[in-house]
Amino acid sequence: MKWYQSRSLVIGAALSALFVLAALVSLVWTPFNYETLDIPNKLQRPGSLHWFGTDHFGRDIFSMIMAGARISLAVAVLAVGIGMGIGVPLGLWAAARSGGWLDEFIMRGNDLVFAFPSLVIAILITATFGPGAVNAIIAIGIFNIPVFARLTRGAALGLWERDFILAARVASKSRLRISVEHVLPNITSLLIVQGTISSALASWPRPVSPTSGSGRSRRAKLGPDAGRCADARHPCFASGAHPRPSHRGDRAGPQPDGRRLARSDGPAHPGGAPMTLLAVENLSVDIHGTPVLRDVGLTLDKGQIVALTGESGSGKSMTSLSIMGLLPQGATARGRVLLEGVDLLTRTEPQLCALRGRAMGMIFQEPMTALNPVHSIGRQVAETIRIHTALPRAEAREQAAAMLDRVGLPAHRFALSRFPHELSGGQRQRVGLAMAIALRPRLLIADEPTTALDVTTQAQILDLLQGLVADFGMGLLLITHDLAVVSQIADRIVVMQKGAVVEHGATRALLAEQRHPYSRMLIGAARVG
Amino acid sequence: MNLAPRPAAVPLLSVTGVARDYIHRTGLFGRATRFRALQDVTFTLHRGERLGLVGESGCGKSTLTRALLGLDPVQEGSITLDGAPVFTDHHANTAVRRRMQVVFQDPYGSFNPRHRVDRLITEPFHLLDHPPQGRARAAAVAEALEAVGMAASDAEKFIHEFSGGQRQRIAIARALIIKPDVIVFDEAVSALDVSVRAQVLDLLADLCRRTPLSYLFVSHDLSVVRSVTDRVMVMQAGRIVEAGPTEAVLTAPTHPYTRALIAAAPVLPDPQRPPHEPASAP
Amino acid sequence: MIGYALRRLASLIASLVVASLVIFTVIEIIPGDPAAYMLGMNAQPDTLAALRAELGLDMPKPQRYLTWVGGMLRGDFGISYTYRTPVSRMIADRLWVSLPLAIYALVLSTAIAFPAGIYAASRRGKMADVTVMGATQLGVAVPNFWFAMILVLVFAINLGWFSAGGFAGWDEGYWAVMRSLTLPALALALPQAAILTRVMRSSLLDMLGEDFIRTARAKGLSARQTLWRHALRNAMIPVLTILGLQFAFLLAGSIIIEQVFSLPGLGRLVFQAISARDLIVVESVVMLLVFAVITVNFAVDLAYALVDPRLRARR
Repeated sequence: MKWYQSRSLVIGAALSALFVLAALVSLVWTPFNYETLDIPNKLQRPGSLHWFGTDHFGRDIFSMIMAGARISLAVAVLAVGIGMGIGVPLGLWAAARSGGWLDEFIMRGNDLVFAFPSLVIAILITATFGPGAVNAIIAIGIFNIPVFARLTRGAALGLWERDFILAARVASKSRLRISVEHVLPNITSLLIVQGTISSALASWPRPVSPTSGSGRSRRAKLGPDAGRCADARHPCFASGAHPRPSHRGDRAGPQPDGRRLARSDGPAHPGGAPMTLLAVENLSVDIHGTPVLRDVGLTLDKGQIVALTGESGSGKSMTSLSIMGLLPQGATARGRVLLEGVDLLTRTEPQLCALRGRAMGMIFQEPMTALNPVHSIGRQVAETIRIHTALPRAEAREQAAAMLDRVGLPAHRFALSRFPHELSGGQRQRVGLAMAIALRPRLLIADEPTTALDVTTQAQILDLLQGLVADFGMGLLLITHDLAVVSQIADRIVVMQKGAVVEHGATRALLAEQRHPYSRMLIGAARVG
Repeated sequence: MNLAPRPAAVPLLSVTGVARDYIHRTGLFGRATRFRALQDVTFTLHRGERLGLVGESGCGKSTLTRALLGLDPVQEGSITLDGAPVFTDHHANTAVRRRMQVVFQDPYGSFNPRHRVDRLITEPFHLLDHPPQGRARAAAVAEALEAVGMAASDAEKFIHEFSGGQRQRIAIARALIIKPDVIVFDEAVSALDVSVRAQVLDLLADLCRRTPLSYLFVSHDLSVVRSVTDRVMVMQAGRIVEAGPTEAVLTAPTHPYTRALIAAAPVLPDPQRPPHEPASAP
Repeated sequence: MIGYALRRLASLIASLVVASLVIFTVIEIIPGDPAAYMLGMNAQPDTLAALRAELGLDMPKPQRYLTWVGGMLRGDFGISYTYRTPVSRMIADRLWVSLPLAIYALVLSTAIAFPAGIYAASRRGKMADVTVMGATQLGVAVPNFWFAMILVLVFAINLGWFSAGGFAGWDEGYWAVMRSLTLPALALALPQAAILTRVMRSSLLDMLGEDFIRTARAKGLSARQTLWRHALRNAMIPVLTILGLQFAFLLAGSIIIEQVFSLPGLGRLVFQAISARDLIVVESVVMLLVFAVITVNFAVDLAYALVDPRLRARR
């Protein structure tokens, strides 16, 4: 997109240009002299002569605004200039010598300046040197120094850990040179944002700087689509045929659909053949019109482990998210996803909420970020139970403890009150597993559950998964890029490439036959290492 | 994968009794605690040798890599290249450093996104007293890029125009451009998809056949190390617990930790042989 | 947790000591002799000397600093040079206006910003979000004294619901105080609320993109439940930071609003003291403000630790 195609940018640029123009033009020309008193013409309405009218003393308001713009602009530019000119180098320096006495000194000094509200600094300076625009500018500029120093240091510290800075250090470049060449260019956008905000606030300093704006462009995995999938008060729930037990107003009781799916021990259709647990048929997904999945099909029986494999971008994760009904916003799915005969794609969001965690559970790749850092592990596991059942808190905790025990975190060594940051990666993955299987769902989806783990830990987690499948009679859909992992525990393998299934079959047969060239390539690559 | 035959043993990089401590301080008045990340690490990399270093996360691999590159000082022991220390008087020794290069793990983070490939891969020229200029420089860039299977015209592009595998090739080109004596590969293929990984490893073997390279290949993955090294060291909790010829260590490990590592690594069953029963056979 | 609190407390005291030194030094380097200023041009040298002795200006500087700090610890801030009344009394009177005003404004801005920020985040990209964000843009851009004038025009002059200026005094009862403080508090709160809303929204949106939100959704929580139970608490950290800074600002930064509404608050006291070179008042008020800011930051630090278990262990 060219810059002039962004509407807000064009409007903003035009307004700023107008403001700067007014300030510049006022240097040489204003419609009237803004200082000339003209008492007979006081308090005139806006008109062709006085565009914005006149004030108590008959001064032309438009001319005064033009002149005022000049002062505001000067204050803003100079104050931010002082702040940036001193703050940015200080921040860069502190980051380059991170942990050293200089860093400590700069940051402590900063804390102190922060402790003085901006206006207090202004007061002190005006009290010391007398009032005046120059002093005001200096005062605001001084206030801006720690803001910029802190911001710069924070952003720069993150960069110093990056490999390209290490590469520059390996090339024996000095810290000063690296700061200027590599760090500064990569934090300019941040500084520009802060600079603009600070100059906007400069004429009326506030101690606050919303660097946030419209939200940094972090990928949003889920739209916060709060309206559609509501809690128990949502009218959708009232339509269920069964009277809903009304314990604890804000939690959904067992839902009709969830219960049938979760509890049905036999086939859902009476008299039918032993049903497949999960059947994905002709699943196609588009995101904003771009196809990401094409006619994907797979089946999974109870007690079976099916591996979904392929390289990054092959559509493995997208398939699993479609099954869970957790596709990102803007995605549309066609085809059928049958869980015990019920098409999940036709379910409403509240119905899906009732199924997730109860009929189907899921664990994710990153054990470090998949748990909520501020809740204890006991609470997070118990939440799965409490959200779906009416169990009282104490009983839910007991069940959670039992489930954590089952996944290898006995309560006497790993208290329920522990927080995720107190656990290792493998232990966290176990907590994630306990959360996913707390209600013994029929289907468990594991998305690269061991990719982020060390080999020895990986072996333990795979072992655990296998044991759980055997004990609970779950179906496990194991998503992984690692064929070696798959070959150890999967009954069947489904190979995906570019959003489509290219080959599937029983593990041994598939590994032996390798019909599709892509599978051959994957297997060959895995064998070589 | 078959590597070129190994030349006679001439010591190149010597690491003797190296120890590295981290001091962890909690807060302004917190007590400083000492954490020993490396303990009595000793090994020699001979000229033309391809040495592997394997261990799990947190075992001290990265700490050792940083010390080798002269990024951090060590508390005990010495690291020398051809007898010259890599780190002297609080500074990395430039004379040594220009003979060592590194390829990092993250193909997305190891390049400054604001520079063109041309500028990125010539960064090591900074180490030279008389870096090539003009024609010579362009020729060096083209040679390095072509050596890794890229086109000379790629020098004009920005790094975001390349895939992960291509970026790792460019990273190798950057390491090769000053023809170093030693290259450190720090988990250089860990972030790549299997097929791309295979291509990069092939490239490495190919480069070895053309010019004898000496490198240290650091990885958490035994299977990767197996295909590109002559000798391997296994590291656990800051110590080297086992070292020896790669095939010997991997087929007949002596240390229990090495055995645990090998046992844990999932292996594809060989279709020629009858497969061992998977535990959850239908 | 207790260790954390103690460490923060230690650094709080250290900050206060350094701040008092800075203030004392700055005031000391101001040219001019307060005694000479008070007595005017034609003062006799012996009168001047007597006044200097009375004000303690003839003591050596370290001693004066210690006397000043010691006095403050006992609640004795000295005697105002111009009014000849105890500074502590003057400050206490003004604090009864400024503190309620600051708290009132903070409550208002929180009451506006939290629901608005949460609502905008939950309707991201939709009309409601765009509307709220547009309003905050306006709130950030427009200075609060302009809000003050508009509020006075509408609610005081046209509608007559609140008073346009002046402070009724606590003797007149709570309602009278509310009448005089509502408009200034609102004028102060609106720009703050705009900033807080934006921080709340973007912080929530950041959190909603985290992996653990997806985990919570996979457990069967609805989008709304994940927002309230998982995202909100994690999103509070930046919001708390901003809240702390805002309180400090509201206490100190209401000078202009106090002028617009002619309220006898701290801001006006400082303003008058500066023009009258009543340095002891300036010194004391600034110290008080810094004390307030540091204390609020301490409280915010403790609040962080309550919200985020990771902080209890670290730092």
